[in-house]
Amino acid sequence: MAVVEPIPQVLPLTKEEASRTCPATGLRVYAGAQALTLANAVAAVLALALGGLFGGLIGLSRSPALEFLGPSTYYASLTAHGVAALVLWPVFFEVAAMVFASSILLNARVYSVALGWTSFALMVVGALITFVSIMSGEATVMFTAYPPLVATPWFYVGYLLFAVGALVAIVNFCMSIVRARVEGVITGSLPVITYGVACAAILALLSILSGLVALVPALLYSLGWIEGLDPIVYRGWFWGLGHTLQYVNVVAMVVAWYGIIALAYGAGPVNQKFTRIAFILYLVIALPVLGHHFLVDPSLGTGVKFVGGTFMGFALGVPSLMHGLAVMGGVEYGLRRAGSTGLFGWLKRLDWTSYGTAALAGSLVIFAIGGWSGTVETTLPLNLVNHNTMGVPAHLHSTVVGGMTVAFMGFAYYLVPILTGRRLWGGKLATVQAYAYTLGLLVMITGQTWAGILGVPRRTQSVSYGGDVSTGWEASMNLNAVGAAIAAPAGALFVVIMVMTLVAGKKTSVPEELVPSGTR
Amino acid sequence: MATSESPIASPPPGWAKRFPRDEKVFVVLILASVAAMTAFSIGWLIWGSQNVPTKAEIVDQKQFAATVNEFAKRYAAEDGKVWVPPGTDAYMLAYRYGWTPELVLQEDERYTIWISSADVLHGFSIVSQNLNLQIAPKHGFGATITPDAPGRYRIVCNEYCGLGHQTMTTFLTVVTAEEMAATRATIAAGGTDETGGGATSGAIEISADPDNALAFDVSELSSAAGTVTISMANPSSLPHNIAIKGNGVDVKGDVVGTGETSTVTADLAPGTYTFYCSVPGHEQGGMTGTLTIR
Repeated sequence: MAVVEPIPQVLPLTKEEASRTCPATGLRVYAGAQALTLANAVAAVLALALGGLFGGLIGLSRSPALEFLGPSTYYASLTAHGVAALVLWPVFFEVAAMVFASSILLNARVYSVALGWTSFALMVVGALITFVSIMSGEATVMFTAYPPLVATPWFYVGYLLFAVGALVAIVNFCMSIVRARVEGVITGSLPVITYGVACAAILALLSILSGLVALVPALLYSLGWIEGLDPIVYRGWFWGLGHTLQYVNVVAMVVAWYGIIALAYGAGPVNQKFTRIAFILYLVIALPVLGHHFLVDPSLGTGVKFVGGTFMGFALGVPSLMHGLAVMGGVEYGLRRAGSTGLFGWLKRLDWTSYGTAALAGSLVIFAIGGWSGTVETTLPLNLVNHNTMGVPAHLHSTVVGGMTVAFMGFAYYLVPILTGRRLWGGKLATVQAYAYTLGLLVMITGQTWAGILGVPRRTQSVSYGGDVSTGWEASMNLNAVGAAIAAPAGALFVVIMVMTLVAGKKTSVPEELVPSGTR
Repeated sequence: MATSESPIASPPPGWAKRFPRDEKVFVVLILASVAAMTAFSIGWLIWGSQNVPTKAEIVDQKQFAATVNEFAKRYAAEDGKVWVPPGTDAYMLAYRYGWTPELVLQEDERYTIWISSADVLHGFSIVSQNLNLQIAPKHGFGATITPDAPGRYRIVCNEYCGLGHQTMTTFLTVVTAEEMAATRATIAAGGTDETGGGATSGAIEISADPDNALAFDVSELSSAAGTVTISMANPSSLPHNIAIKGNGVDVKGDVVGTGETSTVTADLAPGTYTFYCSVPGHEQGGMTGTLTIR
């Protein structure tokens, strides 16, 4: 760890400029940065709680044996699930990561704490407006809101406020790094984590700009000020937001992997250049890959569909595979240097009862499954088979939930104690949580993949169609519900652990208690 | 060899010059696998037997609805289904919440089915055949298919389109050449006379004019006495409903928009009634007809 020289102060310190040194990492934590990171992390956890609640409900209700939600409740719940779990939870967590990576990790201050709170306020207000409009039943349009389906104008206003808030957070992130450089707090290359978060921020910027082009006309349409919005054109701009945002999530997930191996094992990427090239590749490939949303649309030509969807989809596997090697190879290298022998001796050195190991293993395994299913679905002729079937939720639950959410959970188990100076509440409960959540997701994804192969449509309240459809769909959708019944309580346990750590975690300055080692 | 520098601190200078051989080999391997998958996929597009349709065009929504109506009228058999002769393009309209018309195709014949939407995005999915297409208003999609086994296949909508999405379904029937020829013969013999006032017992289905003219597709209806239900599909972009009046009866169905259906039910004694659209001005504009109860 670099030695941090105290910054000379002429004026008395304001509250935000007060700082402490983290006993576990030696990082200088400024009060303003700490409060901002925590606030965004707490909002993220609350959004995940809502997303998980509705996810559990719709997962169970789609079991043909249960089907307890009527159409209007089901579709409103599905919209709420998508907005909370796919937009609010990751973006709040990524803003927390942006603040952390641009200030605390660099031993620096946030460029403007006031700007940080402005961004937070805009995002919270936007999220609340959108969420309330969905709960009122006036915005049952799914998180995609394809026109000419139309929601109350408030739904779009909330989305737009949230996006502008995220945009302000990105500005603050960039300016914080600039300030740290100008003030000479950092002189060398950015740490890999900050570098990765910067890539995520650039993708988020592209994503938000594309989203504004989709959502502003949608708002005007909803107000009745313009007419004749072509849904195919909207889909293009929307997925410029929607899919690019998923690559913000993937990059942030990879950052969380590096964060976990650094804190749990003291390990790093197998090679700095290799890892950074992989991050840059995401920037190049993630935007054009939105073409895969058009594979079976009546719009683009086959050539465009193939290059933008299929080829770019295959190419996207490259950076993810590189990071997979860099993360696992980095851990292996570190443990071999510490004395592990034999082909798999290093695996035995890992503490499999550590929550870091549990979350990292769960995330890597399920994300790999999601990568494979994504590659299959992006293949042009296979998309004809898979489009809008349950195979699509199978893919996005293995990437966004199994990959990203599990990695974020694991990273949060280290981040929150560092930020609060409190031990993680519940001890090994966090390990149980990570394994149970992974198990639930694996069962759920199995059910969804199976259903997808049979052709069960996604986003449909009931697939009984009057009872005369004998397609053998029931078993797969019941299995999906079993997975949801395991994953939803396990997800709730994460929320409980986080909240209890914040309110009842034991204050400590023992490094090993704040950040326990993940090796034996 | 690897270096494993901490990801949470600045790397020591010179990191940009190190790129070990192991990593180079790995990158070459994954690039080769991308190249191989790309080559296989291109081959599939050229030699594969199931590929994404390539026929698509911008269509006028009203024009398309009119084309579908005309097509359905021309080839409808007594069972209400549309028996499509080999060599003819079929047309299908998706609307909230249904598909029209119900098609019957002949096995081992190549058909192009043109599909578009009257309102919002829909998904065309032939269950168990793994054929899924995105259907959009103003865009016509020409799917070329060759059904290879007789049977009754379920079609469902797999893009969320509104609160009735889970009810949006129909069937596609595939028949042998003999069955097609036999039914086609009855149609050619004049088996269906759309405006002849043929007696229907109880349930009557009519449609508003798809080109926004103030008219129904029929001007005379008849039915046996008892409970009579008239359902009116509205493919036009105007709001319409169906209503019945006369002999002391005055009942009105809900006013509905594009792609929806208005329904009215009444207990009718023998006599002559008027069916009409109660939206102000529409009856006067010609949206009316005679309902004879025997």
